[in-house]
Amino acid sequence: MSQAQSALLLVIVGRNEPLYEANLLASANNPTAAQLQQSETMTRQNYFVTHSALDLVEKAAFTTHSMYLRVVDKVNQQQVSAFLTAGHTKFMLLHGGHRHRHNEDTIRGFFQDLYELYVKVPLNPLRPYDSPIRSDNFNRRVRALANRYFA
Amino acid sequence: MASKSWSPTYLANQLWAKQPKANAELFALTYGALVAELVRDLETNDKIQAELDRMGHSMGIRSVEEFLAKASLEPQSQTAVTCSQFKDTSDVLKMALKMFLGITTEAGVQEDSHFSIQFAENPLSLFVELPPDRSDLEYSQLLCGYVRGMLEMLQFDVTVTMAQSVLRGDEVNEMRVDLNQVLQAGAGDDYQEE
Repeated sequence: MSQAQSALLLVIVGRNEPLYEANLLASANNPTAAQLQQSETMTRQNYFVTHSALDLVEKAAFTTHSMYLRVVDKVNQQQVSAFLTAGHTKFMLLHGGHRHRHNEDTIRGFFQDLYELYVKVPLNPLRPYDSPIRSDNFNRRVRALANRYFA
Repeated sequence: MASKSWSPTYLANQLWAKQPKANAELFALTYGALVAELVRDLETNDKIQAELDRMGHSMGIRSVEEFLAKASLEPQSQTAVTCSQFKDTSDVLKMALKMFLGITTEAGVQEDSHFSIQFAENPLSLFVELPPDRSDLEYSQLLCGYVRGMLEMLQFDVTVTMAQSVLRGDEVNEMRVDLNQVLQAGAGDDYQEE
């Protein structure tokens, strides 16, 4: 039950549109169909929370020199951490609050490694710049990364 | 003079060491930009590949001479390589690919009229992933044209295809060279003296 409550949602947002979305918990624990259905409304809410935090990212960007902006928004027991790349692509991670505390350094490490994965994506000459990421390879690697950090 | 015979691999490494080098990422991105431009301009994969093949061909016919000059494979040199059959050409081709691209290749099939060479790394396709609507595109067709051009200058009329390609999900890249015919050396009929 606690799995369904503490979501772990990653959204990568480009200049104009979301490029990539992944529910990192789904891969980590292989939830049953019943759990999935139950968490569907939660998931929708999670997306909403994450996207509404985007404006706060813009604000937070001016308060620090670091790319890692830490927690930019808190809603109920959930927090949104953000990372702003040099090209102004935003990595947003929705994670549990106090009960399933995800260490700030863990998330920093995750974002750093994700950044390393991400920089290779725009280098693909056959992918239009700033377009949604449909690469299976990238998807697999992100999930493996999430497993390493959060499982 | 010919007291020591050098192995083709050693010679190929020597040649590669002497070549001027380019940054691998710049090289891959330049080629990528070229292919992306062709993808934008030409619609079908066939047309894109034909164009890449043509470009490779025109590079091949230029660079074969440089390779032969630098490798100095003539019989009296230390590094003589004798090609008594068509398939022996693959050894020389492997040297040329090492010299120009720095890739280490393995011999695949060796038959009388065709051979194949395999290579794990392909410097052209760094960073590349084929989009779903282009999953059949042979991204490295330029290499095929390149080999075709080189062999054409040596009087071999060949067809070169990529039998396997890592980008399309295979384990290894495999280039297959089929011999169509050996061209007649010398001037054409019009120039023969009576």
